[in-house]
Amino acid sequence: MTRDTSWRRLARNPMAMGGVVVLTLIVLLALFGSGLSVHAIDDVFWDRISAPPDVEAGFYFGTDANGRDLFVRTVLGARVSLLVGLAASLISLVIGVAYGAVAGFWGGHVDSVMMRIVDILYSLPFVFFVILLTVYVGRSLSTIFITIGAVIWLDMARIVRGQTLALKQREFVEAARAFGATNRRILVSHIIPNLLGPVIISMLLVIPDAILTESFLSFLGLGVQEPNTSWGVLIGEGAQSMTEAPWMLLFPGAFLAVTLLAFNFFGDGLRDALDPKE
Amino acid sequence: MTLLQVEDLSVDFPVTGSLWGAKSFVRAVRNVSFDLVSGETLGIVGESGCGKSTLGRAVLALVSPSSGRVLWNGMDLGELRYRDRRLLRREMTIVFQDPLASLDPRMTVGALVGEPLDIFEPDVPKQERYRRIAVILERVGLPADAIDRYPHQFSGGQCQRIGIARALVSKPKMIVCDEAVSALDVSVQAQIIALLGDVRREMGISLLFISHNLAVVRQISDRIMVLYLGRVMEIADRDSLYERPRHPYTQALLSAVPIPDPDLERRRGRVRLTGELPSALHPPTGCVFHTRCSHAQDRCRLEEPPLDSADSRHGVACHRWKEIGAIGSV
Amino acid sequence: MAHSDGIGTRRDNSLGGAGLRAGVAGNAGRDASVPEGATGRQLLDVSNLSTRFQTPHGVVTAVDGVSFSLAAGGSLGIVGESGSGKSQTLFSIMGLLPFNAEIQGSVRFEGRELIDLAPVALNKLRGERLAMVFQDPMTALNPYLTVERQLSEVLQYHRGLSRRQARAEALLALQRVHMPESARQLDRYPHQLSGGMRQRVVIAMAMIGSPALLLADEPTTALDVTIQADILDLLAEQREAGTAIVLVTHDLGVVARLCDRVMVMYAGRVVEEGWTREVFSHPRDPYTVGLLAAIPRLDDDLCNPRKPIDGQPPDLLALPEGCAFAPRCFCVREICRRKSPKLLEHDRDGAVACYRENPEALPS
Repeated sequence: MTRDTSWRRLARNPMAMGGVVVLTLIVLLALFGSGLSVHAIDDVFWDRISAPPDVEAGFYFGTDANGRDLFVRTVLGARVSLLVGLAASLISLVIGVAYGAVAGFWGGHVDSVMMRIVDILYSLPFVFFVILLTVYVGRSLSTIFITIGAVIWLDMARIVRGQTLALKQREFVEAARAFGATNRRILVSHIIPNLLGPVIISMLLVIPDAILTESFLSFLGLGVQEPNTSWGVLIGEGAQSMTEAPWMLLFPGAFLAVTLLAFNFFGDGLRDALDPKE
Repeated sequence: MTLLQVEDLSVDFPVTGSLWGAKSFVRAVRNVSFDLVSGETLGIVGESGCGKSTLGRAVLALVSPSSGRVLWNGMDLGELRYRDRRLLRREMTIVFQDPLASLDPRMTVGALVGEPLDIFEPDVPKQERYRRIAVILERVGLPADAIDRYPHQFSGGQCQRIGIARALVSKPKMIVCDEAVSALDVSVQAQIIALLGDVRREMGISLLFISHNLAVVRQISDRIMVLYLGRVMEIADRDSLYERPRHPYTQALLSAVPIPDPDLERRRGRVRLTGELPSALHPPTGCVFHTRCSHAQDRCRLEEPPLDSADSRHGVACHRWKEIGAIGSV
Repeated sequence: MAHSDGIGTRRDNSLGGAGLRAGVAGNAGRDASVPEGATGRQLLDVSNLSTRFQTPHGVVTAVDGVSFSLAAGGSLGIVGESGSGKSQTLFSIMGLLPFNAEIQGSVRFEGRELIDLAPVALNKLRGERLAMVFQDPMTALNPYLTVERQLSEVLQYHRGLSRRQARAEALLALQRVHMPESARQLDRYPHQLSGGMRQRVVIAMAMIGSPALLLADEPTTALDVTIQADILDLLAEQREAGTAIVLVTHDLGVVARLCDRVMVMYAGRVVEEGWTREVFSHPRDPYTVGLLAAIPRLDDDLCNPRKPIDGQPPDLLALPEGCAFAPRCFCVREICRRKSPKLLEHDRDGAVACYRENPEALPS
């Protein structure tokens, strides 16, 4: 599968391309959206507490319980959520791939021990861990990165280890060895390039996972602090005023849902496109 | 000049035993000995479970022998350090059965064929490297523009040519062909056999040609060794083996190969084997072949026959070969 | 088993009388040597069979206008390489095509049209009158059922036997296929049997209904050569007992051993057809000539080396205009590249599709 045929196949997948378009729009919104909004993030309007959307006045999405413009806060939320997603996937990439590739390639006892460590970490209760960390490190964006990063690499490590084990058995690896390749050459020239496909796909599916986790943490009050906000915070606030001011839940909720779906469609499409079984 | 000496080679594979510890072994190769001379092609034939592929890998030290030795140019491969053994891979290369699977799908043909050069001659300047790859690609019948293309863009036969090019680029002294044509269409098989034949003659390379197809082996080999359940049954020069096979197993094998001539097929006799292939975990006692041999006697059940010499270049492992006589295959 | 000369051989004389009455190619369904009393109707009559597949890369015509017929008790070998359409022809006859296949033409078995036959009726036919043996015995064997169960299932379904009767019959069926230690094998599972033994079970299952026609798709390709010979002998026995056989294979030796007539296919079309003896000794189509000259044989004269066919097997997605074999043909002409030649009969009870043989073989 050359790169060109893979991209071509991806381009023919409407759901995947839809996902790409949506994601691009959301990223653009996150980056430049505040320019579109009339109000600043911490402008308080006492006369418009939990007010419905009013396009002429510039409150496109209405206001929240503190009288702040929901649109600009949603845009800011987008920035935080996407940033968390990106950071988490990078952490999972670096740590997870390195860990998994080493475990899979080495095999034997080293692999067993390394994977048992992963299993143990996996079984730790996440919320408990987060609360502990928050107590010691304090609440901030960095705490979020650390906590999510600490957990998200586990999946990637498992996936990469599995892929590495499978690749080790492939005949072209045996061939490379038969022709005198060193372990280093095999790992770098044969295993890692062939890992790219599954790794990229996993990363794309890790991002929604991270965003959701962050939303969950913020919902619990353990995440981002005022005046910063994330979609999770907004959804938390919106849930409280669900009956009187449904737009407070609707807009951030819709954005979160659409973003997650877009990542999933794109990830699925990419997986299908890179699948060697033509 | 003797390139390769295999002495009493055995290869065992552990089989994961039951929960309570008893580990059993499969003797994939047992007490195999043969020599390979420079420029010679030795065909290794046998049916499933005969150990021919394992033998090929043991010769290349890709699998460790459990006993016996492999000597390359007089050096015991088992005694060498890993590093020195690795350097020998320049001289002994391999062509695999599955043309596409043995090529890394993410590498270009140029990178694949050039890999041995990158490993053993990393200081070769880029242009010279490119030239050598182009020359060898042309020699195996591939267009020059193949260098930048990927394996999946080629047919099975062409992929096998890529594999052969890779096996040739380091100018080896011996190539192990492990069922190198078995996965190809018959019309393409003939092309690849012809290519291998030409190349080994031109470059003076020895071939260890492993195959289950007796007609194919006959086209390319100077000498042939017949294996059954890991042991050598018979080893002889080509004409000697095909025209005067002495071991009952060889006779059965040859008589079983169908020939595209209906009248000949009807006239031919067939040496039949009784029973089924025994499990490699519990091989028969004495001569491993005795359970299927119509000439078996008590002695065959008790004593394993040595490799007797029918003449200086024809070895038979059978107690009764003198009485059985040679039966032609056609 | 050993004879007095100490050599355990047996002569095989397998030209059963029924085998001579195999059929002829072409739409006419003419029978070569019709003995007295035989009807003109063939057991199997395939007429202009075409099978097309819709794939993401385009339409693939796997079988392109194939016609042949087979008399009761006859044996036909269909020979070709990858892309020749030989297996797809068989699957088309059996109705075992995937959903994206489009089939045209006619397949008449014992006078009944098989294409578009109702599934219930087709199922009844399959297993009773028509049976199939595949390359991988595990396509027919359920890994979770014992041998006895699998055979009994067929017996109970098709012959309405009780469980106990079925078991006894199953044992007989295994003995008929010369299964070693047949009583023991009854209660074994497929994974405990070797490849050759599994294939014997599959043949036993196929023969239970005493079918009139057995379709075999590379039944021995995955087997060791000595086992292959045994299975071929087994199939020959069925043929001698009156079952017609259509055998698909790439191995010309197998055809020589088992089939009285042979049909050579290339890129979905029939290029030559006739009596095996005639085709193999006097091939007329360049592809057949090339094949016979290229494949290694045990009785080769090594002083005259094998001559490979140039080029590669056809890409069904990108077939050239005109004759599909033209790019590789040693006697190609202008017209070959423009129009594909028609399959025309010749006077030795066979047919060939080539302009060299029949300059007027222009398609209609």
